[in-house]
Amino acid sequence: MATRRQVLKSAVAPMIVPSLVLGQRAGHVAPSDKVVWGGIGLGARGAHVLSKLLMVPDARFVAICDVRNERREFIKSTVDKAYGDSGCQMYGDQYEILARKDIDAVLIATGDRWHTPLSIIAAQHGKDVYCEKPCSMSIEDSWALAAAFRRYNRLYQAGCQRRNGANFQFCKELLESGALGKLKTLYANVGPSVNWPPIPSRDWLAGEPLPPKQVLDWDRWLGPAPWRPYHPSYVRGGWRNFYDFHGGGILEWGSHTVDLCHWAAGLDETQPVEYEPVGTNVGPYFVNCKYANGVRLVMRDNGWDGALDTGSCSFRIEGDLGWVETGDKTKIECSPNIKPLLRVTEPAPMALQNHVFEMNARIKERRQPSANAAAAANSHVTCHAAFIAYQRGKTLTWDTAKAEFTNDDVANNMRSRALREPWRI
Amino acid sequence: MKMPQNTQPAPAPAAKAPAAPPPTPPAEFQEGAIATMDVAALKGVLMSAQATEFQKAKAAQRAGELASKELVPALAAMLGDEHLSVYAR
Repeated sequence: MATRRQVLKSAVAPMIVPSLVLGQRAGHVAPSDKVVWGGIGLGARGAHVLSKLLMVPDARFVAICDVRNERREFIKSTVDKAYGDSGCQMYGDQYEILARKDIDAVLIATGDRWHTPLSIIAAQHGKDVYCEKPCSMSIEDSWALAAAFRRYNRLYQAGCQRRNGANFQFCKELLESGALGKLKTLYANVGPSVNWPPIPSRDWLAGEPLPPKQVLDWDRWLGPAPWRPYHPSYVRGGWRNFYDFHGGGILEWGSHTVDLCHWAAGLDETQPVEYEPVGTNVGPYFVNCKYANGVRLVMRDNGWDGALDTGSCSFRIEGDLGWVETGDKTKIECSPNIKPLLRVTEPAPMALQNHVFEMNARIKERRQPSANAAAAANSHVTCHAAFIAYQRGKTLTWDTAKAEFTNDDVANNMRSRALREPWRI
Repeated sequence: MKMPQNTQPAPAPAAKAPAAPPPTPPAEFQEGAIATMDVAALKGVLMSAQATEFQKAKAAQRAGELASKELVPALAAMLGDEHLSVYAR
């Protein structure tokens, strides 16, 4: 009687064919070894992420879905030009692209309102997801996102690419090595108030005639967000000024920089227990937070490039022996005792490329990437809690075990936002 | 090996500067006093035949945050409205 090992051997042996026999060149990746990607809602930022994905040798982008015709055609043209064929298919309905069995993963870069529902729908269809930030519109969204990717056993990479940025990683290493001493305070630069006020408007713009549905599907553009009359400013990026579509400056950058603080300090599984808002809606503004272990987190409006000119989305770590700060300009500022330890790091654009490459590699390995859904949930809950504290104009205390505020009922009512029918999380 | 800090010219920031501010909302679409209304005032807006769609939407949104039981009947009446139901939930 043949053993299991012999059966497997006999079954596999005839399938092993040298790649040269198949006409493959050295370094060539067989189509069956490539991760097959689709994209949903790729505007300017999504196209930038896509440009990195198109550089991944073992990835193949095959389809784009968008509610805007011009966007669909632009992405198809970009992809077909990169591959030298006409294989990129276009869709207007996310369920059609997600129904494709050949697609392994989707890149989602819609407006914020769609991020959580679409990511969950994609996971329900068996897809892994790379999703731009902010990943959620509320505390409830954040928990639902993490739960869905755990339940459906799918992989999720938040677009928090700085986790793969060498200058940011170097700061993390300094803390972990003990060079900074005992951790005291983390600083996360949040969106400058001159660009994104901490509290976005709840007003509507005057309604204008709807364009034809084949040009723009307004109902699908709104998606789960509350209904309002159409105005072209929204779809050109103006949505970021309105509460129904956006979480203000705190979510706009905090989803990056609070995420960096959590990652660097090993706080990916928790949130602060106290949130003290300071400032007005015209800035500068701060939210002073404190973790249960006494470490402080300061979300601060520090201008676009920061007072130390370290660039956008800067973060800073202070220990009892020294401090370090870096941002998108990649230069690293630090206390004098840390300067001898500094080293050259990669330029900023490598962070995104590394991040996209990491996700593709993790899909092949079936391992969660660095900015996974659970980590994203905790950093986003922290940002949402700070946003709610700022709107309430009072210091809020938070029970991490019960996931609720302990001193304000209205704040607890603001942990979720209603989704327009038929969308659910 | 210890090396000097990178002093090369900084690349362009990854984050983009925001676009020009959007148009100003017209007076009839500004939340204004509704943002700070109490339960009684919100009930007045929600039950009013003269209140506009925008006023009812904003009143319902604030009512959801206050979560007063007294406002439930008025909000329930909006659940069948295609535009306003999301604000009432």
